[in-house]
Parts: sequence; C-alpha cells; structure tokens
Amino acid sequence: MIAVSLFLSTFLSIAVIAAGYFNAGMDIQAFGLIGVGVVWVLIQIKWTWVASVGLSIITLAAALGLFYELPMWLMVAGFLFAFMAWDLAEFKSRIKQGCEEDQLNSLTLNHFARLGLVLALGFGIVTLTRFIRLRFNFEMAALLTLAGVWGLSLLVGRLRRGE
Amino acid sequence: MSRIIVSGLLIFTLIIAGLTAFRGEVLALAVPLALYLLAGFYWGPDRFGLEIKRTLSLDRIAPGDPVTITLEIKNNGTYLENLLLEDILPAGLTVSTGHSRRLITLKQGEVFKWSYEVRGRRGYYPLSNLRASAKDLLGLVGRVEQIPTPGQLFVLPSAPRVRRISIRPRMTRVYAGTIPARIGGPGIEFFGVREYQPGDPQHWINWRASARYSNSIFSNEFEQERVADVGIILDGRREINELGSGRSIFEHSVLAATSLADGFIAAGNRVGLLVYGKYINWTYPGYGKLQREKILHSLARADLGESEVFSGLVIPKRLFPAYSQMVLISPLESGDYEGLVRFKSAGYQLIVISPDPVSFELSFLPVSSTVELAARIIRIEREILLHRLQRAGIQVVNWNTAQPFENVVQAALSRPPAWLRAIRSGSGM
Repeated sequence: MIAVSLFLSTFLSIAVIAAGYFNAGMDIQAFGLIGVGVVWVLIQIKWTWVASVGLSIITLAAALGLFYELPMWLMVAGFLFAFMAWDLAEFKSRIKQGCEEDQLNSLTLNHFARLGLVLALGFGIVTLTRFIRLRFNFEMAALLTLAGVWGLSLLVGRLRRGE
Repeated sequence: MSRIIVSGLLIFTLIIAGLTAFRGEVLALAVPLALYLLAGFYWGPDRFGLEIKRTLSLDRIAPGDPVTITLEIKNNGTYLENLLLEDILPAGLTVSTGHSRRLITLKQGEVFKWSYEVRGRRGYYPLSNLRASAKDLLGLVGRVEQIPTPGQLFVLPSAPRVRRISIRPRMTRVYAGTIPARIGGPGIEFFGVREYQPGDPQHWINWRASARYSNSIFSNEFEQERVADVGIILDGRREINELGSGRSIFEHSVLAATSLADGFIAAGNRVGLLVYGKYINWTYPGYGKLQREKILHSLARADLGESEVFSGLVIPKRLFPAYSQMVLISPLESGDYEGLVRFKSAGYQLIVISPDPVSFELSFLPVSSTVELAARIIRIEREILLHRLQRAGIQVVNWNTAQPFENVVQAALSRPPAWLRAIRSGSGM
C-alpha cells in the first residue's frame, strides 16, 4: 500500500505541476519537471534522501508557477502530492525496519489518518486564502508572520507541557 | 539532512518569496508544511520511561545450539506511537528464529514482551544495550536512547573427551590419581623389590627373590599413581594461525585444548591454561568441575592476536610449577625450536600437539603441480622441525586436522586401562 501510494503521489505531483506548465505553453520547463520526476522515482528505489530534493524542486516549481499566475489548484495539488511523497518515503524506510509480527497495518493506517488530517487542514487553509483577502503593507505582513511563528512556538510548547 | 531542517527551510523560503513578491498564494503554500511541523512537535515522543528486563533461556551453550532471548519492556513514560526497538547483538551471534528488531506502539503502562532465538560460534558475548528509537507517526521528531539491558552468553567449545592420556611428569602431587609417580608403593605396575615390611599383603611377597636369602623375605613394590600438575598452553599468535585467504587453524587448536583439559581434569589432575597471543591470558591451575568451567570460559574468549612482545614463543616459566607436565598446542614455526628446547631443559615434561597447517591449507587450494611442490617443500621443513623437537626429548603429535583429534591423540598418547595393564603385568611375571 505504501509503495503504491508513494509512487502514485510522486507521479501525480510531477504530472499535475507539469500539466500546469504545459497549459501555459512553458514546454521546456514542463519537460524539465518530467525529467526531475523520472530521476526522483528511479533514485528513490534505493535512497530516500532524494525525496527531500524532489520536494524542494516541486515546491520551488509550484511557487514559480504561482508567481507566473499558472492555475493555482494545479500548483497547490502538485505541491501537496510532492509533500505526501516526501512523507511516505520516510515512512516506508521506517516501516521496512519492522517485521511481519509487528502490527504494521495499524501503524500504516494511523499514519495515513494523521497525514490526511494535516493535508486536509493545509488544503482547507490554502482554499480559505482564495476567498479571504486582506491587504497589508510589507512591514505589517512581516510583523504578522513573525508574530505567527512566535505564537506557533508558544502554542507547541504549551501543548507539549499539557497545559 | 534532518526532515525538520528541510521543512523549516522550505517554510522560510516560501515566506520570504511570498513577502517579497507580495503573493499570498506563495505564502499559503507554507501552511501545510507549518501544520506538519506543528503536528510533529505536538505528537513527538517525550523523555523515555522504559523499563527493560532481559532473560536468556541458557547462559552457556555449545556452538550452534539455540538460546532464546526474551525482552520485557514496560513503558513508564508517555505514549510512544512509533517505537523501534533493536537489540544490539555482538558479531558472531545470528538470529535463527524471530527478530531482534521490532516496530511497535506502546501505551503508557503497557508491557511488551518479545522473544527470539540466536545461535553463535564459540565466544563470549556480552549483551549490553537495547536501542530504542521513538518517533511521532509522521516521523518528524525523534528520540534515540541506548538502554542498558545487561546479559551475557558463553558459547563454549565442545569436544569429545580424550581418556587415559599417558603423561609422565617428573613430579606429581600427593593425591592418588592415574599418573605414574616414579615412587614405589601400592599400585598396579611393577616398580621394584624391597625387604618385606609388616603390613605388606601376602600376595606382594616375591617368593623367588626371598628363596635366595635364608634370613629375609622380599616384597614386590608397585609404582604409585598420583595426580599431577598439567599446564596447557594454547598458541594464539595470529601470524602462525592465520593462513591464506583469512582461514584460521586456531579453532582446531581450541578444540584440542578443550578436549585435553577435559580429559586431564576428569583424571583428577590440577590443570591450568595459558592462552598466548596478543597478551597472556592465564587461568590459574585448579581441580574439578569448577576449574573445567573456568577453562572453558577462557577458551570461549580465546582469540587470535598479534603483538611484538609475543611474536616469538617465550613461555613464562614462573607460571607453572617446577617439573610439571606441559602441553603446547600450536601449529609451530621454525623459530619456536629454541624456546621449546629451553623450556624442556628447565625440567618440564613437554608434549607438543601441532595441528598440521600444511594439510589444512592444502585442503582449500586447487590441485596443481605448483601447489603440490610448494606443499612438499613446506612439509619437509615442518617435518625437520618436528624431528628436531623429538630429538630434544619433546613428545610431538602431528595432527592432520582432517582426522578426529581424539583418534589421533588416543593413538599417540593413550595408555591402556588399569585392568589391561594389570593383566599384562600379571602375564609378564
């Protein structure tokens, strides 16, 4: 199940992003992305670290695509699939260390549930940004970002201490 | 690279790119990554509170025998949703049934028990740590600890016992045994004739000798049999035990030492063991089952070593009682001659058991005229060495390792059982 999901998510991330670039007539970039995808899939058979490189490339491609005003849903979907592939590559290497006596199915289901939750929440928030638009100047945006990061760290700390 | 760093860098890049380009969509791409990080930190494992108990079904086994290792793990800490437990096994032990690594989920207060079977070659195996690596389900935040779980396993060498090895040290101990003591008294073998003493059994009287003298009666005297001090020296020098392609004849030497030590101890002798290699490992002489166990433990730990100090064969004489019986087990090299002769001249009775490295290595080599010629040359050199040792009064047993050790030693060193000797001595009179 994990191997299939990993392959599908890698394939879909490349396919979706490349489709966005093809639609905009940026064929060279699209072919480049397909090449990256092929290398990613091949190297991933042996080395899981390639998923981090793949995710970075796809994230940059999606960000560039958004900058060039390519279809947002394709870019976001491609990024989310790449993100999923990155996560599953690590999970696959972890699960390989278990044995048949371990309850790997239950572990896999729990993993998918949590990953699904994170992806759904992420996708939900990204979707919200399409409809809720506030205009800030740069200083305000930077301040809000810093405050957000600080707030998140505080929240994590408190949650972990069980307060 | 750590996945936290990768996701952190990507979040940072997306935020900077979004802010510089004034693109909310680019900023929004950082949200799933941020949520992922948040989930990882929130569900990440806390400090371990694992209590681990290790039990072994046996702590001393023979090579190739299975032993079951059971680990009982109790989680006194927080919930561990993705816990990888790995029992770190020393080299030489292999898992034969089950697994030494488990990936589990362990709730607070839950106990997890798991067993697996290992087998191993001769050796001493300390089992010290269990590696626990806990992560959150997304595998982002982890904690690794080596938890001490002490245990030990001895894989002791096993070899058939060699019975009735004929040794004649110049000095024996006071207790009755099976070694001829060169002293007259009660025994089986005829030793001499002396004047009758009150208390001598009538059947000891030598009537033929008594008939020659009208005023005296003479009794036969027999050779007393006592226990002796026996020192076994196991040669563990790497340069002479390790042959071509990393093959070692040392295991055969260990087998011989095991067999001889067992035989000598069973005969009631006081036996000590010296393993000579990287350093000197000395098992002080002693009697009985406890000593047998000590020697087996030493032999289990025995390994090849190389040292400039012990490159030649220099046997420390102060370790062995004067005039005792020594048995050296070594493939030998030409440079050992002087050391052995010096040792013999100090008054020790010396037997050399030499596993034959030529036939051992030859069994692994392809048959060709070059190999045969080389083998002939080396064999001649070896035979000259063995012959020189024999001429110096050293008993030498050249052991072709293709043959069972007990057969070779029985043929070369055994003495007939007491009842057979009694019959023989009776028929001779």
